[in-house]
Amino acid sequence: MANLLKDVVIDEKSRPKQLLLEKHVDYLLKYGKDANDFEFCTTEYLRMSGMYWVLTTLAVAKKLDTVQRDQFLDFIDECWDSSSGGYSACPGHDPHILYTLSAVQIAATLDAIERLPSDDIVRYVRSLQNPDGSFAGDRWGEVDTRFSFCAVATLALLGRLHLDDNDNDTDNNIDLESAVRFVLSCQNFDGGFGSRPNAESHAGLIYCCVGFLSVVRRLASIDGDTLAWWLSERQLPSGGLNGRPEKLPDVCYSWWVISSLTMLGRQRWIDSDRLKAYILASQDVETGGFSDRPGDLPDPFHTVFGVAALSLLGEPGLLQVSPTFCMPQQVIDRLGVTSQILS
Amino acid sequence: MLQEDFYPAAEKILSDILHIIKNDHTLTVVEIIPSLSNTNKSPIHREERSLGLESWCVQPVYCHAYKCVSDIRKRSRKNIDCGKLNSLLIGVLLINPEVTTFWNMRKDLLNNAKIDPHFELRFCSLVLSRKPKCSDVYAHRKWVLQKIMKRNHDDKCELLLNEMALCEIAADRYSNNYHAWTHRLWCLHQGMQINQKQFLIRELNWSHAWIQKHVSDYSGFFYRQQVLSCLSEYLQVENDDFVFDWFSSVDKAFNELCSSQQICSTVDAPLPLKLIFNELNLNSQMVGDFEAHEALWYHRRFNLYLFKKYLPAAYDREFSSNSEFGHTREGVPSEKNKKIESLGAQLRSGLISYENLFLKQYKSGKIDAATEKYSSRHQQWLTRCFQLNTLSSM
Repeated sequence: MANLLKDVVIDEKSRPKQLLLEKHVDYLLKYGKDANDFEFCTTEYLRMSGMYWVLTTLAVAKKLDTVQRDQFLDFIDECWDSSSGGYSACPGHDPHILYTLSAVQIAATLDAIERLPSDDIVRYVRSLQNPDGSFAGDRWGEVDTRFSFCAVATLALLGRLHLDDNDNDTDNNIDLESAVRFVLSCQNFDGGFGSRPNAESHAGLIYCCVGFLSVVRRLASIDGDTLAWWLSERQLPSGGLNGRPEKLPDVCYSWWVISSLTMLGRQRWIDSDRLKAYILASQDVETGGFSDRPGDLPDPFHTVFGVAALSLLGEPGLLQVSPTFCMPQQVIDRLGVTSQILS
Repeated sequence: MLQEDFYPAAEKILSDILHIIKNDHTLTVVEIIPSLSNTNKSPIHREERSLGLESWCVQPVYCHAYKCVSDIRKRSRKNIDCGKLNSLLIGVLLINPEVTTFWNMRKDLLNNAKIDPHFELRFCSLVLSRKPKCSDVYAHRKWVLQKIMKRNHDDKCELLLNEMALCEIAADRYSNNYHAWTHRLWCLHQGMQINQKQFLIRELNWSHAWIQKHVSDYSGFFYRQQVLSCLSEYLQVENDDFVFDWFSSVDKAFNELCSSQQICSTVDAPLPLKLIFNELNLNSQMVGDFEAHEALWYHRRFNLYLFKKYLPAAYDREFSSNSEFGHTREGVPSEKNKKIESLGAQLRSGLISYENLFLKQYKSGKIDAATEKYSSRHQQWLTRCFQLNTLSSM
């Protein structure tokens, strides 16, 4: 029985081979201004993350001077919910840990962490932890390993994650030991992680769990070889990476896999030249921006992960990106935050 | 973009949609019908079990409903017309189910008994008929189900079976549907609290049929792996061989392995091992029948992992570390343990020969390039991650 391998074929002649950085900057600066009401309306539910994608791409492209800083900071302020202490995706919506992390990332990139109501944000994060160590995304209780990452990354960027026993301030910290236990309980026999215990391994969730362990400096708790073996098998003949077996390659999974491998100190386990060629081929040469696969429509989500992955692969002209936080490394350094990266 | 005079039309469309969903319990699908422009007739169509919405009205109806809900949120929460709010939220979420905040508003309506939870389940299924992989819908559904199950009015088994049927449809519509499979697994764990044996056997049979028809969908295999894991645990504790009335081939396949590897076929191997070996055998056949499927090769890895976990020596080690079982005080294995260890060693070497024999069929020259790649990866995985080469000296 014939079987077509799920992959894309890249046209060697016409594929873009250089990073079209200027075009991407233009694309992002125009994005939102060109968008019609309907598109704007249907994406409002994730606006805060959208702003983080745009801002991070511009920062990595060294184009932070093109944005109006106050526009971003005012937006964050409008999205803050004083009663819970968390942030929503857009004004008037409910707070959620996903958008709380995005808001903190935006403030950190704009060197405005000190403006944030840190005590309240810490209170919000702490209110979402369950007795088993897991985190809910919001007050309605849905649990996911993504939220564990959001919790510790938020605290770390605020300088409120206490990893040292001597430094442990139980009044404003989370229960770190049970948080680690929960994340480790989501690891499968293949080395990968899922959204909850016994859920399928998934590259995006692997990034969250490895990122979590990198933030809390517990990467030694996992078998890096077995996990990296699974991750390296995500590379397809096109050079792109998929997120699970027999799925198509996608630029965002290219980031999640390569960032995880980088944290595990095993970036060389995949062919980086071929990955780079795949990511570059997913640029839109006309409008700018990256799409999931060559020839598809671009969006800011795939654009940030395309640019961030290229930075990890050593593309010149870009700021170095932190594989843990998906933000410029210099921002992380400026905050004095450290994360564990295996060598 | 929304003209003022569209306001009454949008309101009418929204209330008609709510009316149809409320009254027609046979409805299973909502679809957007491509159309060019407003023909001044109602854009809502009913046919058999489907509700169709002409595409021209999607944007204006969405923008109208979204704006109205946003206005309601800005105003005081008192004196809200809950019926109207319900129809507005339905309009938005049918079109774009990713607006988490609006699902939260529905949870508030449910908490205040303004919506019937069974209506909510039906509405969610309609949303999934359009967007089978939307995670917000599954999260909301789970919340509603927990609420219903707490009341203890309904037959929980029936609820869960209905839920699993819904997951099957969603998994069929969209392959590798992560949230549908995670939801199904949640249902299985709920069901196991009611009747462990019944749910496990049911899912073992169901997933057997599913994987035969979806050989590329690793999510389905992964689900089956969870069923096999739970069943192995169950069998280890219960030692209940009723299971094998359900598939008589298990003992036969296991005896064949034993005789082919010169293992005394009267050995009393643990039940989980028989179950897992049966699965490994099924996998060997499927790898032969369906060329170059990574999902099948990955499922094989799991079988080997589970086999290793249940090898008799592994029990023994666990026992001896936790208690004084297994070894006498002087550290000399008891007679019984010698037997178990020797059985473990026989099964280990049996597995190694079985695996080597299997891989011989997939050596280069005989097969297509993709299969060759998966087979060579499997060989490497056996050495690097599974440590098959050192398995015999465990």
